[in-house]
Amino acid sequence: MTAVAMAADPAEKSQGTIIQATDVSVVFNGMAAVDRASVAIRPGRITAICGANGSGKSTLLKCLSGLEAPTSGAVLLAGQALAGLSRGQIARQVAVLGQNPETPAGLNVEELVEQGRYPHRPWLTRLRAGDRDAIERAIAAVDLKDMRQRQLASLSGGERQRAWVAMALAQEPQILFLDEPTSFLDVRHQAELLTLLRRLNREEGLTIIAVLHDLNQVVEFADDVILMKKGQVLSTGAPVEIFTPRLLSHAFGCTVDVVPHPHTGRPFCLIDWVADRSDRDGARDHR
Amino acid sequence: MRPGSVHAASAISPRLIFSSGLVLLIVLAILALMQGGSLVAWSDIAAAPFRPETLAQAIIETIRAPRLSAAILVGICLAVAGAVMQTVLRNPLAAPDILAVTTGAQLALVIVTLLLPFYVPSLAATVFGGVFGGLACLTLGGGLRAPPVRLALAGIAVSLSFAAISSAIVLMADDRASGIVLWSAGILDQTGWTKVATVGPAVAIGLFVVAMMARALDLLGLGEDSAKGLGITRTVTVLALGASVVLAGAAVTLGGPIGFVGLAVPNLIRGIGITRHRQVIPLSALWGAVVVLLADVTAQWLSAEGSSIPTGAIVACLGAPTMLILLRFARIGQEQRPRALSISSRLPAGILLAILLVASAIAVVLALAVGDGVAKTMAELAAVFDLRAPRLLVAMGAGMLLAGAGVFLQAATRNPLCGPETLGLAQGAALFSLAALLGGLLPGSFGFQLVAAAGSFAALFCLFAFGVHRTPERLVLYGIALAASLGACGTIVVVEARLQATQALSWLAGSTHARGMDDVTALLPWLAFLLIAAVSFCSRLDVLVLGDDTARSLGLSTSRTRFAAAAMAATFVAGAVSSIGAIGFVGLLAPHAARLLAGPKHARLLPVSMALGAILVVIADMVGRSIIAPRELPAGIVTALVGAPVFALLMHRRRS
Ligand SMILES: Nc1ncnc2c1ncn2[C@@H]1O[C@H](COP(=O)(O)OP(=O)(O)OP(=O)(O)O)[C@@H](O)[C@H]1O
Ligand SMILES: [Mg+2]
Repeated sequence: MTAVAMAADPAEKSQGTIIQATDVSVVFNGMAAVDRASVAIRPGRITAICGANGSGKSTLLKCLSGLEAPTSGAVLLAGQALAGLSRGQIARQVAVLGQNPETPAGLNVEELVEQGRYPHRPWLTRLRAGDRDAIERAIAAVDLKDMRQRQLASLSGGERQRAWVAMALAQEPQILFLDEPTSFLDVRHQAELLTLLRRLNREEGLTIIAVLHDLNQVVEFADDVILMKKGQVLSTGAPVEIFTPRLLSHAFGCTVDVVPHPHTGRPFCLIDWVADRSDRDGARDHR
Repeated sequence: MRPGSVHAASAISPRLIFSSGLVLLIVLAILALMQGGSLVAWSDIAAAPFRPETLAQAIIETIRAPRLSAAILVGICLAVAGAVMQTVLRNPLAAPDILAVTTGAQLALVIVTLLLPFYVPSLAATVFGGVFGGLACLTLGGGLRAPPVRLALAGIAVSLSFAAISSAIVLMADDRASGIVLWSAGILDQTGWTKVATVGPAVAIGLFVVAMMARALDLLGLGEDSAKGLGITRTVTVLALGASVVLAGAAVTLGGPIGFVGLAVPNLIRGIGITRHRQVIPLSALWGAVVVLLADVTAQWLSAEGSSIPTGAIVACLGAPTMLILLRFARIGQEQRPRALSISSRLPAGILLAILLVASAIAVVLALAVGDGVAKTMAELAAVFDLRAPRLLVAMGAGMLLAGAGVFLQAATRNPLCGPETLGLAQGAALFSLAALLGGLLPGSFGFQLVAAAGSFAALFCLFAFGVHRTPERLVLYGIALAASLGACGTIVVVEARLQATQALSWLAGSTHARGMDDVTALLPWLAFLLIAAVSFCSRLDVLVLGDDTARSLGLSTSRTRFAAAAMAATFVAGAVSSIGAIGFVGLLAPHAARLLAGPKHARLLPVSMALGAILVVIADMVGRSIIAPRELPAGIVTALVGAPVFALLMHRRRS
């Protein structure tokens, strides 16, 4: 299977790309965590990055967001090379929520969210009215108004995750990167977070790139998907198009079935959780 | 993961390590016997077993052989104690000196020797003191299962304060600087076999107990739950710790507080891939003996002309290089970041301001009024004002600089254990100050300050040049080793150059003795720099503590900021140390105390830390001047004394 760069399609090129990575590789200790990946992210869309553990999702995300400089290859942000932009310039357009960010003790929710204004504040100035508004909106968006004075350490995993999302939102980025944003959340809060992100995407045109593990979530949530395996981009495209049993089974190394969803008709992934074929086939034979 | 569990690139055969250690030990032993003039020759050593009645034989029997045995025993005891503690506490940072067992034992020894009017067997005293020190460390640090870094932090705090108490007692009993240097650095001089003979049985019992427990120790390394499942009870833990404390106590009885052997040797042995205690324990013992003996031979060789360099100082000099090798080539287990940068809470701004104002007012009044006698009238106050006001101001300035340095360092490394004294910056500046003093530069002059700055920057360079700082634990482990090495070099300089007591102490421990208005003006540029740096950096420090990725995504170039913050801290330290010497505890503790009062945001944290730092040094100076007047206790010793209870409070709040 070959990697299909979306930008190769002229029809899609006309919609423009906001982030364009060409032949990006990241090598750690002689091992390529990302191997000649080329992807194009389109503005105003939600892109999911999927793949098995260790397939290089986080590393690719860091490259695309400028946190990590690729060993080779180039990343363009709105047509400009990331390497040529200052950290501040990047931070005013791009916000990143890492896989498990450290929380310094004693910081409360509001103070954390305040830090999101850092790239927008000129040196040696205090918070201004505009900053305050952005902070208020961000806290309201994640529904943490009642907990704004609570210390981060005293929050549940999910609440803390929302506080971090609020910090990223306070940054007022055009592009938001999230690395496994739903991993600490219960189903309800996962749904709420995805709804929030989707709303920001639809209403404010926020471009979102997220690493997600739940394939069915990806089908519901994402417009595009980048499927990775062992550092390489296996396939890119709309989930409806590229989620085939063969491709997914190959990507994850376990049996994944894809059936039409009974309500929406979109693909629904069935994972063979107990991959013991003989046992199940045997059980079927008895029937 | 087991403590100190390491993955070596290649495993060297244990047998090879054992035989090479044995050969080295024998060579060193012969060197040790022959050292010091030409009184003892080869033939005498060869004939020694037959006990001929010669002068050489007498020297061997009454001086050199006892010293040799003491060195070997101390090495064995410390290394085995360290190995056991690391396993039982599942903490690669555990060691008799880090857990305050050594300093507790030393304190007890100082007390029974210098203060008590009746005789107490020294081994009983050191074991009791060791237990006391260890318990104090565990209580403060949060028990047997406390996270490694927290336990080490508690141990360092207890150690520093115990060492300070010891120094204070020694100073009160004996005004000579040599006294304090010798008491605090570990001397293996023996007169006859008495000490070796008295501790011998205790060492034998301790080693026997540990040897019997080798298998149990293997299991303990697997983790508490698995160990419990395999039938290891709390008794085993207590017994193992008890044996290691007895061994550490025996070592202190024989040679005083010698550090690092217990930390470095077992970690190195594990670092080359040896994990079974059946092998770790004997190899640690052997190499511990080699290290101490090597240090002792070096010490005797260096102090040939009548001065006597403490063996402990030599061991400590070897501390930093050893640790560097260890950290470079071995992977120490539990490489996780302490989850949080210490606890913090906050008071409303008004109350906080009121507390600080009242506290500084009290400190200022006390500092001016109290000294050699209390000034009760305005006339008396006016008489001493000219003497005391400059000291007050110098103390305040230095306190602010040290506390500022502490905040900058802790933010730059995101490590609550960092401070000017735990990273060696203060000791670097102090060592270079001593050199400047010997070179004839006037304290307070610009050249002098420059040399001090060179010292703190040299320490900073040593810290960061070798790439061991990937995790906070490594950084601090190496920093403490570096601090001890630099401090030990300072001790050696003092002994070799026969510096005057007050001068030497002033730089090694920190004192405001005889500071005048000139010194105050000399501090002003540094304080101006501190203020500018604090104002311009505080929002960056706020972002920096969020972690590398987050900080970068917020637009901060982290490596540059971190480097700048560390360099600024080194500058602050140089300013403080060039004016009053290496005052400990302030830079480490003032930020923690301030975090407790003011919360984690640097706009509040920095000023509050500086205020607390200033108050701490002023009070310490006042106490030092008055407590044994007309003599003076260096302020640095008092900061450690004052710092300990404050720190105890801090650790307790933190756990509840
Ligand atoms: N800083 C680093 N140093 C060395 N190797 C690294 C580093 N970061 C990642 N790797 C390696 O690169 C590979 C890809 O890592 P990455 O974190 O991108 O995977 P991932 O797809 O995000 O996995 P997960 O689903 O577990 O988050 C892994 O094999 C990992 O061990
Ligand atoms: Mg990841």
